[in-house]
Amino acid sequence: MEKWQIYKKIFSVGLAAYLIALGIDLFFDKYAIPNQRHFSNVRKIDRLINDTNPAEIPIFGSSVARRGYFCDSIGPNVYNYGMAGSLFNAIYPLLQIELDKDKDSPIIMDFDHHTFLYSELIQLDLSNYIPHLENDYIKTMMVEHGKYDWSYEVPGCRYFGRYMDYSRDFLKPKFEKEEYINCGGVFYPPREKVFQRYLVKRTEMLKKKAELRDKKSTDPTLFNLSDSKRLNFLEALFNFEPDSTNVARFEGLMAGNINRQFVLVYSPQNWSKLEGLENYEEVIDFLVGLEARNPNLKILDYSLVEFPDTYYRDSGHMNILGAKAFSSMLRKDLQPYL
Amino acid sequence: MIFNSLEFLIFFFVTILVYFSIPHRYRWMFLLAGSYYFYMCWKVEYVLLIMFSTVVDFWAGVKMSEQKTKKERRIYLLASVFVNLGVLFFFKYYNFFTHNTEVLLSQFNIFHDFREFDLLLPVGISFYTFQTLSYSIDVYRGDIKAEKHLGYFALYVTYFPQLVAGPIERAGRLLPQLRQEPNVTVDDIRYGINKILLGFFKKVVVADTLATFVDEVFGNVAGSTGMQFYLAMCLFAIQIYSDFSGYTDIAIGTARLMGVNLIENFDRPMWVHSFREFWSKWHISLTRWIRDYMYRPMLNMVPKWRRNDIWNAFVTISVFTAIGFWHGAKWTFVAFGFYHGFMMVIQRLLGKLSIFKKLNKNMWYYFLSGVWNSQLIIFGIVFFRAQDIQDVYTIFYHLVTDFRLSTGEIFLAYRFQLVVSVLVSHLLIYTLYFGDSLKFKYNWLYIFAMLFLIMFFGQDYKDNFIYFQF
Repeated sequence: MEKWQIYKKIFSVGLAAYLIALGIDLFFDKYAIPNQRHFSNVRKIDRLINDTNPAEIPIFGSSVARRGYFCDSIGPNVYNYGMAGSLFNAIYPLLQIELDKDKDSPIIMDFDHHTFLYSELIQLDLSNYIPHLENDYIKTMMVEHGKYDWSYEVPGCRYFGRYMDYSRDFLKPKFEKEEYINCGGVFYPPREKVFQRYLVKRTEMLKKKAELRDKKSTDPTLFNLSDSKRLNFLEALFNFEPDSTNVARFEGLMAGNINRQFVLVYSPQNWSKLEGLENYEEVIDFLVGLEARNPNLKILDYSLVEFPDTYYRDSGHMNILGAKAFSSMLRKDLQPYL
Repeated sequence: MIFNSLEFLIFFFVTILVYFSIPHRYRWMFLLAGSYYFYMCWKVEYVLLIMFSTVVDFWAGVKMSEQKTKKERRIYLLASVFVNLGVLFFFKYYNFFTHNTEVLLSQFNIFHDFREFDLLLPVGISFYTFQTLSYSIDVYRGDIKAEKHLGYFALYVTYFPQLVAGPIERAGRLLPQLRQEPNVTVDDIRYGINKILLGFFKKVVVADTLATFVDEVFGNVAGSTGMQFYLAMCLFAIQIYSDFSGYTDIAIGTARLMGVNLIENFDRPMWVHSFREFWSKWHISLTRWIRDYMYRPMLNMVPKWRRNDIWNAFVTISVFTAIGFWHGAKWTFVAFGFYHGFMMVIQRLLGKLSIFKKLNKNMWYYFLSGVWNSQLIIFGIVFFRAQDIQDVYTIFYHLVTDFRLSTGEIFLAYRFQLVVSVLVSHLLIYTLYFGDSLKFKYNWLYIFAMLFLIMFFGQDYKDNFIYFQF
């Protein structure tokens, strides 16, 4: 076979592959991603970058915020930017984008004992950020976490592996009819059985943590690397271990934007979550210290509010009943800042 | 540099372009340089390790070829075996042995801390070690002549398509192909392209999609239910097959485009009627290596007339335990190998009973044996996937005590991942069973369909292929 024939056959498949990739890329870039539902994470970041409403009061946080802050019950112009899995490392670029705006509205941030955690185990959902790589804050955050790859900026390749994530948003209304949507917040319907199942899981994880600790102290020779990794993960999950860099960054943002009022809200915690948290006092001390050091920070602590289990979807997230009840309480306490 | 990366695609097209542009006498140099570059993309320093193994085995081969008798060659064979297994032991098994020695000594109130080394396992070390060992043993036995050209020998050891996860090639097959100027035909190109596409489909669409569900369940051993574990075990069986055979398909396809025929490593192993059949279809190059260089020599240690079922069973279980241990320095892999060896022995003994001889001819029995053998293999996969023996126990405990057949339970978590996993698993089955007729009748349509599936459903799972860790 002639050399040029070999080239022709192999490179024509390569070209076909690239054209197909480019076609899919264009469809998603121009149509599918911009038309995600308004409360999808990609659209929330897009809104944050492009929205110029000076009166908007953003709420940042993880899925706890997304599922727990019912904006209509809090007040006008409040928007929920909560995104699943977002700890401070992912919230930081969002705060930077917000603070670059010429605004003086307050900023609400949800807090729980994980918020300032830094762990290599933390996963970033890259599909949220890749469409916004032109934003320097987003790009820097991905680089810092070792998640940036040059192929994310190559048309045809940038969204590879994430088309199902974006398509998922179109499929979701078919599966999740029962969820309630409100200004960026997505709320679970009350389901007692589901809560009970998650409770069992949490109890088993706590039991596992106790077993591993016991093994570590009584029989260290049998405590292997995999035990150590798992115990570290469980300790990080259940204990309050704030990362000093994250805390310093947060304080730096507050100090640099003294005209903006920050409100850090420790939302209601289910008893089962608090039961696993061994150093709750340290959390409170930390919050008190943070408030004392930063004049434009207000801490609102609802962690010990005793909501019934029927207000929770699982031990970490409230359902629609809990979200509405909590948001009404928050409305009153936020009045001085709204 | 993993196959499912943009870097590899660029490397691949540049290699093809240059390979066919230069005269054949220079190609070995180009391929060797490319293979070293390919390997250095993981960790630059480890290329020295592979060079060291290459030089030692080349030297041992040349020296053996100068000796007339086996007895005279033995010392050089031993040197080669000692160096290869020594390097493998140090990087892969040293920490395992020291840790277990500490545990053992502590039972006798002797407490000693051995020094542990925090070393990154060189990618593909088990594969290229076995490949070079086979060369030395073949030269020792007189089955092949020693290679006198260091460049070609180095290329045999490092040939990039099969360097990091096989297939484990014999020198007698691969070296002549590397030396000879290839006559690449249209069929080679078509076969190579189809094989590469199938490999990418298996890896990025099937294996990586399934990985999300499987990783979630096995990553939450304490919290997952028996039903979830069972589903994850079934899907992991498909995942590991797709992952490993996908890598092999890309390797075979890439080599074929350059006119080199690599050995097929898989033959649809998930539907089998015995463990023996499974191992004749799964990781064929390893099974044959073990058969030729371990199983038969061990069996022949006892004269044929003195061999009995006990000796056969001992050899089988020992060899399969070694196969398990080859996969990794963990007790779970040892247990995995032992389980397969044990099942092999049981099935061999049962097969001798007249009732089973009769039943084997029955069509229904034959079908049912396919069902339960697949289930037994899936059962054993827990040893392969679990992090440690304690996890194996927990998983089996959940399978027995927490197996609730309710859709609510199955869909409690990871619903989307599960649905997509099941869909792509079906897609794989159709592709494997009907792919041949499709791709030969409608070649371009097949290529476009595969490209679309890969581009659209492929996952960007940056973790390496599962077998790279071995």
